[in-house]
Amino acid sequence: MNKNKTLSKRQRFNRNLMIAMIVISVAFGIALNMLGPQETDISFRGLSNQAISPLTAIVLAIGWGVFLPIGAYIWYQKSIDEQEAAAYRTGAFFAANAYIGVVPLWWILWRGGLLPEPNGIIIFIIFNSIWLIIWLWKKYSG
Amino acid sequence: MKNNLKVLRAMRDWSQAELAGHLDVSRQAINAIETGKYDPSLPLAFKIARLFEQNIEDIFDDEFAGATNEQK
Repeated sequence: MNKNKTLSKRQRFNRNLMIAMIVISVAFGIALNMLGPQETDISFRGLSNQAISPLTAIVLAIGWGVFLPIGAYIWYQKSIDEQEAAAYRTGAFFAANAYIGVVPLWWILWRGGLLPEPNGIIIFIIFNSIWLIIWLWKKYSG
Repeated sequence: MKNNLKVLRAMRDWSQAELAGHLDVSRQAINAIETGKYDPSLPLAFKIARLFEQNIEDIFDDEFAGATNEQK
């Protein structure tokens, strides 16, 4: 039995969806490069606070605000099985609790002059990293 | 939850991936169920039982069955 045949229907859909999302992401990347030739390497870093052109902002907002939620919804509802969905939810639980813990803590320590001002991007990265690590750990370790 | 899914799978000479294909789940899900790290939902448990032509309680060990009987 070849490898493709051992993949369940759901897994094949998952694989195809991942390929589609990668293709869309690459297309977005190419489009952004074509739309924003005036952007310098530094100003165009996705997580920086440097100014970007309105057109680039609109393209990024459409990608993040429209295509990503639609893809994520299809992925969650149709693509993954219940074990991965449980792992995903566990990751979300830990990430949400970390968010609830970290943000006020940082804010309080900043007000006390012990830490720099809370940074939304760093909090975003922490939140997503915890979610991703727990999700993958639960998926592959059971 | 303890279960004899691995034994039933071995009796049919199926790999985890093949069983996953029959149940339309991932190989990781089969591994997690076999090792008792993940308890399947009731619909999936019924699907497993139908596939192996067994009752759910013959596949999955109801570790609380004794306690429930004692309460009665």
